[in-house]
Amino acid sequence: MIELKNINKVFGEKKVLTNIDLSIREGEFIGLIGANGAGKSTLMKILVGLLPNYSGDFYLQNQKITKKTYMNVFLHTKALIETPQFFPHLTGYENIKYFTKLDGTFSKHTVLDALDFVNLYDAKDQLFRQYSLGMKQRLGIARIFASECNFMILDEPFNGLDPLAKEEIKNILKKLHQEGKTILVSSHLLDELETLSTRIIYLEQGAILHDIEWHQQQTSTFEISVDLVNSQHFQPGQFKATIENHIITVTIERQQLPTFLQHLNVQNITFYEVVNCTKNLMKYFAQGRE
Amino acid sequence: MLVKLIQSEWVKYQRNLYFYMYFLLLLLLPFLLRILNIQTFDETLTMIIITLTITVVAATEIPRYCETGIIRTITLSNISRRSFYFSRFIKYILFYILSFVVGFTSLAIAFSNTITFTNCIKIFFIYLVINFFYVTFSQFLSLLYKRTVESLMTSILLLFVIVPLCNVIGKKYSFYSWLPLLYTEPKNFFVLNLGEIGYGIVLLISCGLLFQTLAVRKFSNDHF
Repeated sequence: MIELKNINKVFGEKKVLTNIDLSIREGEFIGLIGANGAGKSTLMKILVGLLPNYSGDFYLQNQKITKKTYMNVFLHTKALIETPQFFPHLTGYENIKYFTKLDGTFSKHTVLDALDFVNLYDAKDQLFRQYSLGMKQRLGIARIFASECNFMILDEPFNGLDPLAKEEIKNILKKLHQEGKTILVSSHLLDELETLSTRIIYLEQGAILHDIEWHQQQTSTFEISVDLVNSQHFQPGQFKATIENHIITVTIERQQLPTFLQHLNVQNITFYEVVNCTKNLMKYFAQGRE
Repeated sequence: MLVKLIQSEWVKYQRNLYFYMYFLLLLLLPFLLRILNIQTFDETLTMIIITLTITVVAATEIPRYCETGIIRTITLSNISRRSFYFSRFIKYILFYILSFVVGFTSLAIAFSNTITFTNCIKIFFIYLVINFFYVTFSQFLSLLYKRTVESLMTSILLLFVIVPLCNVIGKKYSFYSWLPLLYTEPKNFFVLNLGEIGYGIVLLISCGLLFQTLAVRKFSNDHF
């Protein structure tokens, strides 16, 4: 769907993005993480057509984006960069109406559907300036939804939201992903991304440090540490396991865990503790910071 | 595009109190002056109000979008920056036409014995050229500053203070007739001969087009 090859971006003398190679496939839910100033927002802005002066190759639907066609990137991608801003003197409905009229996709049905999708139907006649931060974020998503775009980019959609509003945004994003939309979300809230993402990209100082198939990792691999009494008798058998200092580290799928424990029992090996050592996002983040 | 523009802008302006107040003012002003028995009244005041309003709108619209962050929502819409910029320009010209129709209909009713159709047409085209220049210049300044107050104050100062001052001082010098900005005092158009009016109009339109080209290039490559 989207392919970036050797993308570099410089602001003045500061190199913000360095040799970014990234391929985004249809239907993915990508979590973009990284410390402040790692280049997340810059990368997102390039993807949505807001930053024209970059170097490298940008392919959209297998077509190379040139300087002339770059300004048309926004036709294929829709973004919510930070808190969305709309006309404060218009209602939620009128704001979406204005922007869909600008897009040429307006129909009353589409606008109301979009507002209903983000649970703002009841607040459709309320002025935008009276909206809470969570409602503004949801209106921003409704605006993207109404434009019927398949690739959505959201920069810090959970910022400043209370737990309930966060949950609501999470559920909306889940629904959008289930509908087949490709979504790229940047956030510092790693817990939220852990549960939503199928893929995680970790940026560090403008370069991609980790690109992990998160969904696959979460369902297929699991690390367990076991404290042994009779470690000298241990035979790994069919399992991929190593032993060091009376601790066995094994990488298996979650459903294989009882079988592995049974395998230890068969060998008369007593275990005292089973620890899930699966790397979570915080560990990747901490590792990157070291 | 024109229909799309009018429809989307109507969504925005239908809730704008100033929009209604402005047209109410244009409608009522001639009658008010007649009641006050100001016999010397001509179209000048109405045209100043129209030109000033359009200049203010052109100088402040994009900076206001930049300051509030709406520009980002707009630039992420399915409309190219070039089209969006031109749609603003077309909007100001349509706004001028609508204002002129409202203002002069009211004038024609209030001062039926002094306003003639030929005069109206002449005034319309002369002010259209002036407004074209004012709008392109203010739009260019608005992109240069991207700040409402600075853009507005510079536009007003340059177009409504410096230019008339230059007109007063410049008349003494021979280069006066070659400077396009100095033609923007409407009264000049009425006293000049056809050749000089033509020259002034060509200069104003050329300068307007130059500002428009520069502004579109800037708007297309700007980072919002």
